[in-house]
Amino acid sequence: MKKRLLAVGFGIFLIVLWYVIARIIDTTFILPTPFEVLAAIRNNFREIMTVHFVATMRVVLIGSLISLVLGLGFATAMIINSSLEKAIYPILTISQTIPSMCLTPILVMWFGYTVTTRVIVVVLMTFFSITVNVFDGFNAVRVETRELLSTYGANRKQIFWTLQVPTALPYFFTALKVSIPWAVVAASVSEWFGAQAGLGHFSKERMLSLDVPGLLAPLVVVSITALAITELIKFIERKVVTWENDI
Amino acid sequence: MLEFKNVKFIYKSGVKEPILENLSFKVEDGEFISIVGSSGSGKTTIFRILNGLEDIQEGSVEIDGQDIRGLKNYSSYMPQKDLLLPWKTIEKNVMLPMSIQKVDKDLQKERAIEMLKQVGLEEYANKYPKDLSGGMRQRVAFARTLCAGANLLLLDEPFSALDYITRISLQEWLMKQWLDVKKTIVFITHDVEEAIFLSEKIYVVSGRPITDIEIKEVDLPYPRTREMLLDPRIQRLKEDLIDKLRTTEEEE
Repeated sequence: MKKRLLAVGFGIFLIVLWYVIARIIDTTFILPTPFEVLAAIRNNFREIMTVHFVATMRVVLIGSLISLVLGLGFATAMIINSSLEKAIYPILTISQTIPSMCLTPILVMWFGYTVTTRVIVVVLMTFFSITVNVFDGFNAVRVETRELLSTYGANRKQIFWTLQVPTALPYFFTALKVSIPWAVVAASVSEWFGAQAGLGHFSKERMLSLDVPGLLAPLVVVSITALAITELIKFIERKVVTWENDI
Repeated sequence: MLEFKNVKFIYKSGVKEPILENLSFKVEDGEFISIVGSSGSGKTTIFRILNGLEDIQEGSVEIDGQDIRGLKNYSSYMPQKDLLLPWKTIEKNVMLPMSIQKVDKDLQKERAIEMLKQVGLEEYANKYPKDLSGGMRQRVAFARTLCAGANLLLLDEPFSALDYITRISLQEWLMKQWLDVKKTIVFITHDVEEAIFLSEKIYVVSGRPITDIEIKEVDLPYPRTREMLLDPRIQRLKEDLIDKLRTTEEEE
């Protein structure tokens, strides 16, 4: 509780600091005050939420779902086939260091300013960590427990469902907590390159007309959304994972 | 009857020297025997072979004359750690071997409750492992071992991680369980007193490779009490065993 209080206190301090610096600079198109940003959100609330938020979240949702299916699929395939693991896993871990968002321009060349482009960016940003985390989770099973089950006559399928899947669940949630906020960021940034709607698109339009409070308004919405999604995942995790992994 | 016949075993990875060489011994049905030996002496290897977790290079391991390589569910293994699955209730943990063997669901539940009663933990059926003490968790692990349905129980230092008082009370408890369920128990321990208190015969393993097992009979009636251990004959047996383990340790 005290920790949280300190964090909240420091957060308020930063906002006050922002306000003070903004007042000293006193130029809205360089650095608006927090109140000016709030006003920009209020003035554009309807448009931001009904048009741009919806457009961005659609990309986030489609991208994340594809990542989930691909990630779980790849992780399971690597568990079933060890040659596949040897071929894919090292490349997956290395590819995590590539800033996938920087590939957006080439995706635009291939697919144009479309939802497809943006969905692919989201998938690229999230797919790897889901795959790698879930795979590591499958492998976090204790050798002794696996052997115990095999002395009961368990086959690979039974070991997978009885032991590996529950063991991987906490890893799966960690992956979600890391990757879903990134999905929101990736979707917004990919909209800068060109889109008909979306929070990133809105920001870019405002930038062109030097409306900095308007530029920052969607940013606040993006942050709150990412935060809310993380909290939602944590809530579901607490309901589902009631144990501490020690198997 | 369990029988090792001229068994040779070498681990596939690591040092390529045999752990067991031409080793033969027998355990009769319904016996309680302990295997003692210093750490690293190969006790656990013998267990891993019995469990079918390792393949032997020569000889055979037989149960009632049949090679274990062609058998299923002939033994129930209880490891050092309880290895209860933290996401399953106590009842579901006990049911685990049966659910793997695809036993009928109602029968699984019935047997699990019966076994939990046997170990005195039926009121914990719907709790989770984290709600139980170390000693209780070992008792659940024993119930789970019984549910695997085999007549041969292989217990690998099941009490070694527990505190002294819990350990001795579980020893007394295990002895009663054995007298009740009348199964063959092969018990690994490095605790000589534990071996004497529990078993009819003590199998001392030593040397590398292990070529022979020295068998010591514990001449005490059941049910045993701790006071019986004070008998001078038993004290001599204890000293003798400790000496043996010490010399093998020094040789290694």
